[in-house]
Amino acid sequence: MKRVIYFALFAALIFSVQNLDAQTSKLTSSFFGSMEAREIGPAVMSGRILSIDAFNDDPRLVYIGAASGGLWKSTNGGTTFKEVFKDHVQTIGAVAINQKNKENIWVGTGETRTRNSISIGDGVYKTSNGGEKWEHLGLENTEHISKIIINPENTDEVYVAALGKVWGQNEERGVFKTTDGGKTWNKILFVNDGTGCADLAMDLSNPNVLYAGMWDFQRKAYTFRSGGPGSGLYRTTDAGNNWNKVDIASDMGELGRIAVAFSPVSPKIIYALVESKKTGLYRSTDSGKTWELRTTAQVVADRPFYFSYIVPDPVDTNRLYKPGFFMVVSDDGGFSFTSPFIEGGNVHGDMHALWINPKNNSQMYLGTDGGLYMSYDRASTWVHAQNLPISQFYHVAVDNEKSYNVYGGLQDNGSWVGPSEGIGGISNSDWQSVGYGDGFNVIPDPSDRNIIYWQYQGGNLMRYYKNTGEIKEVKPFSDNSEEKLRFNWDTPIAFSPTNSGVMYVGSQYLYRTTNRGDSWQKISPDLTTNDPEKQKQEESGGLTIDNSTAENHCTIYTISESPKNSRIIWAGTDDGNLQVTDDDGESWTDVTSNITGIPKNTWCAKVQASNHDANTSYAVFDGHRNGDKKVYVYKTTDLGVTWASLATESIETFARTITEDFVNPNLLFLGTEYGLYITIDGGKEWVRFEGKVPKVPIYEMVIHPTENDLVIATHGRGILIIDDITPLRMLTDQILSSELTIFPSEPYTITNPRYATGLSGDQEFWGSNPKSSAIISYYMQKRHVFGDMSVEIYNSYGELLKTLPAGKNKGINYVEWAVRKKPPKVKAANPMLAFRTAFGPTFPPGEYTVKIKKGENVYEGKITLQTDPSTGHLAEDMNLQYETLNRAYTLLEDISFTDRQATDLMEKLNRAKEKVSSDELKNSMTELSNRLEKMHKELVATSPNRLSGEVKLAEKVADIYSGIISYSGKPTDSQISGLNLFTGVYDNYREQMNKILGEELMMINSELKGLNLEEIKVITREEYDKS
Amino acid sequence: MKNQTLSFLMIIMITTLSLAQTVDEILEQHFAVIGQEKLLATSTMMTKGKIIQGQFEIPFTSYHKKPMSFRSEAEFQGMKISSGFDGTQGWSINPMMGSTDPQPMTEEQIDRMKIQADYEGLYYNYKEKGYTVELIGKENVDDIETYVLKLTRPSGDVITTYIDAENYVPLKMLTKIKMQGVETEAETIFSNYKPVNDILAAYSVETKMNGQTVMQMVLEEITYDVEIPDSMFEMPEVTAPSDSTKSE
Repeated sequence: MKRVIYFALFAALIFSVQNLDAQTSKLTSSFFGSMEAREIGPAVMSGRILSIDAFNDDPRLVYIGAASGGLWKSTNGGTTFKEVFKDHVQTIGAVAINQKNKENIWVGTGETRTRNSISIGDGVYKTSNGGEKWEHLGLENTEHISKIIINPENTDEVYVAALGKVWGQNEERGVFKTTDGGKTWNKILFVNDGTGCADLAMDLSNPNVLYAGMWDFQRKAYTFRSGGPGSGLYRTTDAGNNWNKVDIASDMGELGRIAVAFSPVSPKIIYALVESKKTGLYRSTDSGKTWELRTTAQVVADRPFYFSYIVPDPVDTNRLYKPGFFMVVSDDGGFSFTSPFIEGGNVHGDMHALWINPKNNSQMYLGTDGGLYMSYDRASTWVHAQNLPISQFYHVAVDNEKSYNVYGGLQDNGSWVGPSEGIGGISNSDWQSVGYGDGFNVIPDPSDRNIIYWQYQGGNLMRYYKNTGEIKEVKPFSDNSEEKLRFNWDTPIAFSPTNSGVMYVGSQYLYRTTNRGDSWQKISPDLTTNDPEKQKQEESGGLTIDNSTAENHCTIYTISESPKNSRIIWAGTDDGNLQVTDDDGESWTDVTSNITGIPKNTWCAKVQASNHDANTSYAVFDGHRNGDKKVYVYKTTDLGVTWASLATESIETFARTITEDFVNPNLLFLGTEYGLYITIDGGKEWVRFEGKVPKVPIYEMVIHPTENDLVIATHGRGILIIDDITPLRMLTDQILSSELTIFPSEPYTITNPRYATGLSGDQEFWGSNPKSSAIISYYMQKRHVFGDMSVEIYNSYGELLKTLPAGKNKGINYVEWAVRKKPPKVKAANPMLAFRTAFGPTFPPGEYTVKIKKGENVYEGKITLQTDPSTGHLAEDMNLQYETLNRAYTLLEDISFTDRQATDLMEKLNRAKEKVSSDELKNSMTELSNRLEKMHKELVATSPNRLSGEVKLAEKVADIYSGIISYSGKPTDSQISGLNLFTGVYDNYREQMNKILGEELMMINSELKGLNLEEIKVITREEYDKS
Repeated sequence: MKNQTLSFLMIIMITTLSLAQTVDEILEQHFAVIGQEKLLATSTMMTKGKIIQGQFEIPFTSYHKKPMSFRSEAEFQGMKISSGFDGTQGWSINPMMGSTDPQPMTEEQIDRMKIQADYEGLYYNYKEKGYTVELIGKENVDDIETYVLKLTRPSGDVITTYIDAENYVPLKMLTKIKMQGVETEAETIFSNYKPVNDILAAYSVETKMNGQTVMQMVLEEITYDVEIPDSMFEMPEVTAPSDSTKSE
């Protein structure tokens, strides 16, 4: 009986597993196969960095934790970095190296500079192999971790300072401790559900002593509060079993954010930077028994929520650094401060992380809103690490230039334009700064190539002239002198998709201009809730007022005019309204209440009118600022009367933006806080796209109208581009269930490689270019493992031109075909000849057949090559180039063949004459051999030394060949006459060789035969070509 | 009670799963699939194929001889690049570097050569070779379940191989080695497995560094038990100083 129960249970288990299997999506990330994004940066201005730790014994090993751009490891002191956290959330609050074992690193996710655009983490991770694999150790709901401290005397004992939710209350905050390497956690300090630990410090000479800066704070979409009864400095002397609140000074009133640090030189000295109504720096020199106010100077007290941070020098007891808006330093224990920038200081302000080498306090790593800097002279001068592509974009736009440009604005790093491809890649210097402040929308004028619009925070819209660099401020003003226009921190700007002269901007009203912002027409009433309680930004900040426009609220946040009907315009607001007009703004309908399942006042993050149908639109709502991380994605097909949710459980966390393909309406891209999701069936199933798109916040995406690239603005990993999404458009059930399907491809434009010299060292990020070869793409149902698989290219005569290794991945595969003949067959002794002949001529334009051979099956497709019209070459010139190049090619092969015959015969003569007794014959064989050697040495250089300067006939022809091959237009007259000349020279050699192989060899062979010796046979052309 | 039964069953299932395969059992299956015994019964192997690097296609031939001799020859526009290893000493000739004289290999290169030249393969008799191999888990490669075996050499080289859990052939390999003191990593992907004389080999090998394909190797022909003299693996004599550096 028992056995039956076991069996039944077992069967039930299996069944439930199978059932689950049946319900799971048929799509997985692997169906995208080799499709992946390329990263184009920029790293010229990088992104916010909050945490740095280096290995004390060898600080060339350093880990950099970016606010929303992942964790980066350098083993060479910052010359190069490698991302080591790519499979996990990209927001890093804290990183700590176990100084006893450098392979053991701890990471706390979720940044803790609680700004409006803060990213959300998911707990603590640990690696025991230098970042190769990470183990998730829980504390998911802490969301933000400010510090991790490993007990140097027992490295399984680790403390985690958890800030907790920024946008709401929760219990999972305070100080946590593990004593078993992260298997279990104890919350050892908790004040209340609105108070987190903002800073934690350990006395490394006595690890039982710790201080914790507890912070009572809260952020809402429209306000921020720093300070409350929960705030306070806490101290334990028994490794966290008991904590006492430290009474730093009387009559301080309510406290805000507190930073605390021990002097590493003399741990009796403790610094505390305490936010209060009168924020000040305090110092204790008696292990915390008594405290003295050292200063309340503004440079120290500035903006505590962002800059509450102090770093005592590890060598000099009296030296103390205060990174913040700027960097200041004290040499008298915090009493007075001055700039350490003696000879330099060209660094980004807003500094959050400073690591000082404990063995050499001149060496530093500094993390700022603009990336990483390094100093070797005690902070006097700095090197910017231009190799961290962690820039934080808010928006992205593209233009229609040949090789298009990408536009976007960066958090605290202005507005930028950069190319989508460059010579050898996209360098930092390819990016141009076009605007200052925090950058958001940067949009090229669709009808004037000289104009770009950009903005800085709070709706400050600019018209920028590329040729002169002049800027004209063009934001709208209210027509009512008493009224204030409310512009979001990230004010929406949109161009009409139907009329390139029309631009929209949103405050609480929607404005429209038809003259580039010189005048504006208000085309809506206040579309927001206009809630006065949410408009008290001048009171925002709590103890320290902080009104930077970051909390501006009750504003329009997203605008979209229908590409199918210009009278339909959508507007979504940050306070949760979604409104639409279908009469060009005459009347507006609030459709918010038609959407079910969404809490009131949930931020409307994106509305996008469909490219295919006037009544269809998509809307994304983002509730994370209300502490709600659910996914809200909706679609209407009746102009907002009814809405269907497109959210599925496969999407991990809240979404920020959506983009609909303009070709296939069922292909949608969803940008979320944790990466990119794609649906190919209109939103029934979503699958995360993992091909080099990490779990980074995605703020906006655009599909290039002619290149079909998906261009992604990430807030933390710069711009990512997925080139040519055509294969995604074509994925149908039929294709997905086929063994292999070749996708049709756009004609490939034959281009010559471009070269540039610029060896800027290894400390520079280079963005990747798109693939430069012709691409054969196909879908394959399963990974190919067993048996033959290759790709063959045939010309229109059915001749096999090339066999290429196939892509073997499950899903989408790409095979690159360089569209060149094999290089001319030469026998180079000198590397110069080898290099000059290394490439074959390109194949002529036309249609080619692709055959993918997989086992017994053959799949056929076509690929078309075309010439590049942008070169402007005449067809007859290109034909001449083709013909001349191929003549040179043939001549090189002929010379090599004749040379081969010469050396072949020479060797054979030399061998054969050993057996010859007749002096006469021997002499004539020697004489011929010598002539052949001479010919060999005249035909091709024989020294391997590339600087020998040896130039023979083959080298001369190769010089012409390599000159012609790099230019697709008309060859020079000199090249053509040179080729003619050398053809004549060669013909003479050939004639000589023919004579030798004819009469001379015949005579020698007949004599050899007479001596019963083997006749000499010289390699034939056929044999040579096969060899 | 029901809960307990369920957890008991779960424990059994989990235990069974985790005990399903040990390193040696996985390798035994792997050897059976690739025909290791047949391989061990041969004494030489000659491989012809091409190396593809970007637009360049370089034909090569390699020679293996039991127990640990190796030679490779490649040709680029007529320039012959070769290297050899006789089990103790290694050399290379690269005229692209301006000399046709053989250069002896460094100790580090020789140590690496011992991986390439090992006739019976890296994993066979790994303990005797001083390697440790551990099963570090299961992972999916392209939706195919694999066993992940981590091999560590005395030099510190770590080679992690992903073996198809159903077919027992390696799908990919991660190599982490130090070159001149600098740690480098590469990923090698195997496909086009085909048998010759009942010995299975991957005819297509792709190498990636930092996620980018840097090299593809396509095998065209493998021949076993061809006559290869030992002299093939020895360092060639340095030829008399060439006078051809002077142009005539």
